[in-house]
Amino acid sequence: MIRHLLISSAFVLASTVTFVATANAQDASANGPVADMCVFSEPTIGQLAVNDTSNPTVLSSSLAGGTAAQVDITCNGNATLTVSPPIQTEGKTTTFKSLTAKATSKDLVGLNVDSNSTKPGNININTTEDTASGTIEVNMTADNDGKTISPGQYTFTVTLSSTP
Amino acid sequence: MIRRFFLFSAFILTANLTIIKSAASEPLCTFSQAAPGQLVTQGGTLPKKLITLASAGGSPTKIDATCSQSANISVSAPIQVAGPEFTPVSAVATVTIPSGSSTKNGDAPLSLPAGTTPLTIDFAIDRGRSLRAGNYSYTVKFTVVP
Repeated sequence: MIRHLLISSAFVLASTVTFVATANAQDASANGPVADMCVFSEPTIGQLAVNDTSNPTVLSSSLAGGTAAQVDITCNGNATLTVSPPIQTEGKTTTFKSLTAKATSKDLVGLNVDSNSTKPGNININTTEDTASGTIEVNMTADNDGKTISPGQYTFTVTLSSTP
Repeated sequence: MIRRFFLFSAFILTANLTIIKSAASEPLCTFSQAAPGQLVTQGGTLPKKLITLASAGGSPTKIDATCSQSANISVSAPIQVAGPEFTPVSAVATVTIPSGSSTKNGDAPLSLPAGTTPLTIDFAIDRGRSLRAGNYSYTVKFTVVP
């Protein structure tokens, strides 16, 4: 009985001490949002090449001698990437038969999207685990439909944007 | 023997109830309803930190502590209760009283006088890299001892 008493007393004491320690605890909280956003690095300009130096009818970064434009992107949430068709910003005014762009990424799985003058490309960037980050390569092609492109310096711009 | 045991059990139950009642009715300090603080982001275009500093556009959590006698208060580290989970590189809660004295998690407790003392609690949580988008919520727990 004495042992019972001692064990029981110890239990009462333990529970009492625990209770006093938590009886005076109080929570205080703070809340706030982190907005969805993507940031782009300064892009690396690509290089266009011609399909035939004696009779150029196609300008493209995908041809031998050309290089894709590159830009890094980092997103902290899910986003939609929009890729515009190429817009001519330099060179003899030419109405190309087709202006197309293709954005791909080795880092961002599934990022492979085409755009043309009638349909800009849209693709989702999904951030499932953490922030999504990677390099996007953009190739662009201006096809003059078999007609010779006048000599000169040509520049095209493809605009990448993300929402939200 | 059995009867003595029951009697004794009854005594323990009574003692417990009495203690709980007295502890619940006369806590050392009571706290007013806390108005939650506003966390804002800091650090780069893709933010890495969540803070309540007013100078950054946030607002600290305000709560009044009313103590029946002088007491010592300590604060836990911020505990994440909402938002994409992550392990911060640092998470600091700082409690400041009007005299200018303050304590943060891990520091020595702050001495509160008897009576009502407004507490200002600032949060600073640093992920060390970009935070995922989401609605974040943090809480702290106070512990009061005589």
